Amino acid sequence: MIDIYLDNLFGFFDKGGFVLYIVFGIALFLWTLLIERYIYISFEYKKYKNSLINELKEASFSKKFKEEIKKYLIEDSNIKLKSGLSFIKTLIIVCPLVGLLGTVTGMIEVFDVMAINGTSNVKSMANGVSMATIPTMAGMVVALSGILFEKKLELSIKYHTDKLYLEISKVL
Amino acid sequence: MIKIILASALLVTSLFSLDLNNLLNNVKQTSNKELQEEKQRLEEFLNNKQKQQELLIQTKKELKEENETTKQLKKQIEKLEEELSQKESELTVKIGDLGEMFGSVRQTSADFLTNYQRTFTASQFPQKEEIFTKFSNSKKLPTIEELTSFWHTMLDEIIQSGNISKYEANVISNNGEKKLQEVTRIGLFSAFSNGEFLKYSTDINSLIELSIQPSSTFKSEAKEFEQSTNEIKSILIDPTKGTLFEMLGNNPTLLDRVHQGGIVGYIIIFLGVLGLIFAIYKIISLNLIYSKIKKQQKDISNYDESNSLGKIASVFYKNINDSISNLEIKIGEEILKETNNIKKGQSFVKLLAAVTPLLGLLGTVTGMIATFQAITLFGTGDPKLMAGGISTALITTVLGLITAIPLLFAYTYISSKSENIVSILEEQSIGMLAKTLKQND
Repeated sequence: MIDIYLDNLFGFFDKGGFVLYIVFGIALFLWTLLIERYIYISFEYKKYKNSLINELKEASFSKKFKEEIKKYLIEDSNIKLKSGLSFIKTLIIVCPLVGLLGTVTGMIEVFDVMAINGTSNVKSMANGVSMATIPTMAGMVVALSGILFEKKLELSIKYHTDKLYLEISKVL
Repeated sequence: MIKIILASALLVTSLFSLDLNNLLNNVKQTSNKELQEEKQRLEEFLNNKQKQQELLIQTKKELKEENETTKQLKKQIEKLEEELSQKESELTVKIGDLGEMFGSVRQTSADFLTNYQRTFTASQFPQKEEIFTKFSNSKKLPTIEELTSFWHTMLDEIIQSGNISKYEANVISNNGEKKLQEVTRIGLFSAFSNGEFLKYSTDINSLIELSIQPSSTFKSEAKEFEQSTNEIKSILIDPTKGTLFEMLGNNPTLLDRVHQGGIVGYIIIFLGVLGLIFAIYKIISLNLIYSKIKKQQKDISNYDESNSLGKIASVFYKNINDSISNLEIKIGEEILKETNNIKKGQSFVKLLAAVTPLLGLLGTVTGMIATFQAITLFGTGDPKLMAGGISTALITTVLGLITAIPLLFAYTYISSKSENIVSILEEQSIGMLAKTLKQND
């Protein structure tokens, strides 16, 4: 059963040509980064926040700089939360571009075949056409799936930053 | 005178009268003789009549006999003729079969010759060609021995086509030299020598090195294959007997593709290279600044004015007793200077990342214009005429995308790094400095 699916998968990659591998690589990278962010927010960040608040409880700052220190702490944690987010965004932008690259390389393949065989043999062109369409579709799918979660991630970062501001205000 | 004439006339008449008497006597005499002879002949004829009768009867008899033999002979002739025609028809039947056979021998031999001349085995056994040529051109009927040798040669050829064999043969290398080299032949598919793939040319009856060889991995495999004995090795063969290898030469290389892009393609490549070099320079310089700031951040009270954060720290510590708004203004001024320094050139990378796909699009459009020009001139009949414009269109798009994608990544890296540095300087500086200040107290 698994063999059949694997065969289908390899067939799919063969049809898509080398650009599909690039799209696949980007998708893998994108999702690794997204999952890493989610894991960070739900586990590491909580630890960091708790230790920060405990530290603040013990320390004492002069009143003159209180507001600035608060801003600094929030900005610092915001940088920690947002690290890699711009890279994720770039990957999402690049995905359709790579798909477009696939379209063009596929079309080149089609025209190469046309130059050798003429337009009479449509079957021989089919390979190039699938090389053109599959990576484009894959690029779109990856970009769309990425956008959804990236937006959600951004919202949750905003929520966590606001929440931290309130918590720090209570302590400081 | 008249007297003389008269006298002579009289003389002549007298002479004639004399002669006529003589003549009469003579005639009487002769007719008597003739009568006598006639009588004699009649007698003789009558005597012979009986004999004639006998002769006639005999002759008639002979005629009858002869007629009979003629009849008999005619019958015989008819019989023989019938036999002859029978034999003849028999002969035509038998010859017909044989003629067909010789025709097919000739045809098979000619077919085999054309096939044979195109294959690698012709380089190994050039003497076979003579046999096939002889059969295909001969008008005589071949003998049984010749037929057997033809059959054996064909069989040998079939066996050879399934064999891997090594032999010495003349090879013409790419620079035109003719050398006697050891050649390894795999069936009718491929042949190679010293790792170079060969093709067989029918025009000069010799092996020639392919001008465009398959990739180096396949060549090294071929070399290993030549040296191996009785091992199983993988090797590249051409199942179309050389057609695919020849098409390899028609396949455009990467450089050919780049040239297809035309002027727009070169502009894109130039901008791409420029952008990449600049981006790399920018990435390195930003990383240097960042690492210095990080180092400073660990020990901020011990500031060093060679880096941006150190400069800000020095301003902070010098004016620490000012009011907060005053301090903020002074630090803000310092930060503005540094930010300008850090963000310089960042938009250039972004510009290039945005421009190269647009240039690609420009190339697409100019290529399509060239294509439609070709269509208006020559019609859509021959797709090869349109190929030039289309490849320009596509290659420029590819080039645009290929340069834009890394530039985009580089821009993201540069902008996020500089954003990071600026946020450390801008928004955190006072807070961070104040925090360290209190902790030191």
